[in-house]
Amino acid sequence: MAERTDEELMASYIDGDARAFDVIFDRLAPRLHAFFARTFRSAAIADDLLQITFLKIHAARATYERGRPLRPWVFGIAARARIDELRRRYRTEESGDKDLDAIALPVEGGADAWPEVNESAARVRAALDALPEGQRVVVLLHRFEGLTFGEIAEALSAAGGKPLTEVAVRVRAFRAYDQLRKSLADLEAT
Amino acid sequence: MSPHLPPDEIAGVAMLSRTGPERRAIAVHLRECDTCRLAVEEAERALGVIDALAAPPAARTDVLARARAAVHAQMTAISKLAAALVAGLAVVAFAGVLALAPPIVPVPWALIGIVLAISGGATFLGLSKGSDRSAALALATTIAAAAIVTWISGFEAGPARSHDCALFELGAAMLPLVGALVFARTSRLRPTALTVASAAACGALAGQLAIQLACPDRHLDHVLVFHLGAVIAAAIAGALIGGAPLARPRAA
Repeated sequence: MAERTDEELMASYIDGDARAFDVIFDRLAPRLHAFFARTFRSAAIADDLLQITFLKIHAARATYERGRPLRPWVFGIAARARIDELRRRYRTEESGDKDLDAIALPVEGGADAWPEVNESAARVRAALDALPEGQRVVVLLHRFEGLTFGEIAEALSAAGGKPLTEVAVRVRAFRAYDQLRKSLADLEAT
Repeated sequence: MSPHLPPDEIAGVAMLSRTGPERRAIAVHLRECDTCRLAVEEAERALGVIDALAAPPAARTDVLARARAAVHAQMTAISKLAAALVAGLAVVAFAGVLALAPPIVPVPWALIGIVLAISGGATFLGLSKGSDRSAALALATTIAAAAIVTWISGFEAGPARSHDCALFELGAAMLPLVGALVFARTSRLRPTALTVASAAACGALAGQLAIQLACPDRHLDHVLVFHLGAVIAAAIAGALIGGAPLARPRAA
């Protein structure tokens, strides 16, 4: 029997099928956890945000439009939880409530941060963390979660509450990758 | 030849999936233009270092279990009170059939109380837990009780004579069945087909208990088909209805 798609499972989950939820959870939980862990470099924060996100997904399941791709919808909720946590943890007087790009991540990560495998990886991490938040989240979703620019636009529109076009996401991604290329240019030769 | 790629887009192009439509569209130009192709290849090498980033540790199994359980706790089956009411409707069904078909033998209240308590209790657990396992156990308990009741009532040889008994039992099954569906509509978890089947079987068993007292026909075919068979038929009908859209929770 063909494996059921995420969207078919979500429809069953909305109808109250707990087993369909379990399959969705098995498919998406590891990815959501990695998404949060990469941002905060802390398994403990990722643990909490994973649970928060799934509770939000459950609470919002009636708003899911049947048949629409599930992953952008889920990552939209995850991105919202991520933004809330970023603001809660790293907001400063200077950055204020609105300007997410002004929020700087602590490069060292959380107390339970895992070590990078070598100096190159540490440089990559630092370069990623130095990106403006609007570009960093796009890179995380595009490079590590494999979402298309269209899917990222959908997810971030839902997370930010204002529409973001696919073109705008593409511009952000291209700027981010260009910045990373410049920051990491000297690593190429090593 | 199409225009060169803007320099600030080279890195972005390098990071596009090679199988994606956007990269495929650019591939035409890259085949024709050595300058852009070399620039993209250089960017691919430069950005390949991103792969050096350590993957975050996988979520621990206890973390995953906790997050899953948190949602499951929000997906409660019908409440215990509602489950008790559904099981209690079997008693109402018994009384109803008894009123419509007066007994022709003395009513063994103790035996009837025990059978209803066993089947009703199992049905209550099946409904309130909401799992297939508990529902299957409830269903098996009820059908076993129905078989025992049929057995101890005794048989006579001869053909079946009337199907009225089955109609009484199926009518009795309707009460818990409808009750289960009504409560399911207001719960957050869709009942499984087996839980609805167990509720229907419990009602049919209550009807069978009453009809065994009123029916003078002890012919083997009649008792097996229209007394015990009706309980099984009610379970099958409950399973079919339980899998239908009307059993979906309205809260969804």
